[in-house]
Amino acid sequence: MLDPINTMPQARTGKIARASYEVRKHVNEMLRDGKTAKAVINFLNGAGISGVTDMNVSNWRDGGFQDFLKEQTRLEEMQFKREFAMEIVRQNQGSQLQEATLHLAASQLYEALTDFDIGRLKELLDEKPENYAAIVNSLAKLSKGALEVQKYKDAVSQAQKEIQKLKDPKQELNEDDRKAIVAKVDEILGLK
Amino acid sequence: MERKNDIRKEILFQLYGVRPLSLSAARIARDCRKGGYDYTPDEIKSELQFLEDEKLIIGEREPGTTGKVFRIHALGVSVYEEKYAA
Repeated sequence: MLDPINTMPQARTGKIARASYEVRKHVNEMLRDGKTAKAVINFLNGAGISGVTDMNVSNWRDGGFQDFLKEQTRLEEMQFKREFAMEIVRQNQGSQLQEATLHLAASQLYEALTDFDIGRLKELLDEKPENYAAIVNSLAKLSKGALEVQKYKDAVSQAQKEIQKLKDPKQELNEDDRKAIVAKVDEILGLK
Repeated sequence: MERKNDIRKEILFQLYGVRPLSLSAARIARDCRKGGYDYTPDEIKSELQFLEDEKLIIGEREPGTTGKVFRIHALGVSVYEEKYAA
């Protein structure tokens, strides 16, 4: 296997682009908050990155920072849908589901949600909050089939574990098991 | 190589954004199209396989279907943040 962190190329190679994720994130937040190039340079110096000029900051503002703004817009939309999907699953089935199954169901709802115009969906819910319940119910139905399959799989898995226990020759028998075996042996031997 | 790298970046971005949820290859392809990219489903499947082989993402069978869904691994989060995030 390759070392993906070191072998996958970086999109940008400028002084700020080569800083760590945490440093870049802070620089982007400073620019978004309207901080000056001088303030950014001071912060970078404090983070151990020297030699950064006004031109470097200006280049970043026109390039990497613009990418950051676009990324944030898309991330916010994805995260809104993700939280919405997870909330629906939690409200409908959450208490009965394991975390992995919850994520699976929420993933399926997320897939359904992504074809909606999320901006329009927000508007509709703001205009008519009573639609929320209808949407929740519709989406819950969408995922119900998949959840039933998952529950069935979990039940099969549990049953297999129980059967495995019975197959274990070192398993200690309880009183009921002993009685059942004695009865079966009696039956086989014709004593009963 | 640059195109493959762009596809990997976009896949990691989408899976990063929805983590810990998972997405199908078809969903990723549709969102690529919505984002204005012309990546084909075959190209996306090929790069999903690459990222899975590199342990940056995890592929799982989706219950009740013959399809596969993918979610980002912790290593994928690190690679995305260090290499690709702006």
